[in-house]
Amino acid sequence: MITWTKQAFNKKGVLQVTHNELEEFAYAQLKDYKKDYFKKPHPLDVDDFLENYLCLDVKFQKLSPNGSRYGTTVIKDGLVPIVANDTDKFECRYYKSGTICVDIEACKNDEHIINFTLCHESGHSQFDLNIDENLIDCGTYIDDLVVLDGKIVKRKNDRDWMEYHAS
Amino acid sequence: MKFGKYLSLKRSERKLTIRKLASMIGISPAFLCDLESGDRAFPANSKKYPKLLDKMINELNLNEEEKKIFVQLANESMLEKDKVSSEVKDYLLNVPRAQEALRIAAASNATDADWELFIKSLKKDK
Repeated sequence: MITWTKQAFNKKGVLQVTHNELEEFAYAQLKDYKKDYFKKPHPLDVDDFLENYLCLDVKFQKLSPNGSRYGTTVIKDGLVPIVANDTDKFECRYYKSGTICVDIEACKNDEHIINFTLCHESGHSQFDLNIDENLIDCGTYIDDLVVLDGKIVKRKNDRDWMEYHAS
Repeated sequence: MKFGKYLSLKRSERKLTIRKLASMIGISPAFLCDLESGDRAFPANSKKYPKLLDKMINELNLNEEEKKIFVQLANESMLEKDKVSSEVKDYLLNVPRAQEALRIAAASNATDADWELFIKSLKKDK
């Protein structure tokens, strides 16, 4: 299994890597998943990649009454609010850290949206389970300018980095 | 082992994803997740899901031994849903802390003596 080294994470457990590094990581993972993956163009079986290669615990659950939440990742073991399929009422389910939940109805049963949501949440599940929630910065942008890949870019806060990498 | 865990095990052994198996047997991925997690009992004689057990057995390609276990566990699952009274079930559904307490009790193998102490403390406060 391809994973990041400790150096890729900041002191708060947030992954901070460049776009190129992300591309290389994805390439390495897909090659590890299937040796001849890049021999000819073909679609990725996202479900198989997540469930059978990454061995992620994937749940398909309704996450909101109005379809406002497409997906979520469980960072720490605990109770997650979901809308029960049989009663259509909110209830809390105990899920382990790393579990990803996707609401197919919220994704409008659109295969593209479902696949994107699955992949996005799998990013969180792979990258963000060791974050220190008490320390990560969820506030406004930090206006510093830093150089990444030879380009000057605006540095983002920790939450932005998490969403950037997951996407 | 419970029905849901066994179902999940057999599905994983055959490298079938949730959506793939759900599609093969004609149920929603959400319902399959609920069955595997034990949040819903196996539906007995359901008009909505006719012959669901047979479909599962066929698509999972279970051998005779596995089939026997599968059917037995499904039957136990159907019976279990009637053992917990609805008022207790409703209470658990609406009180997340009660669920948390039960999980901790299960994980720490709480004894009858532990529960007796707890019940006494609850009654004392009232």
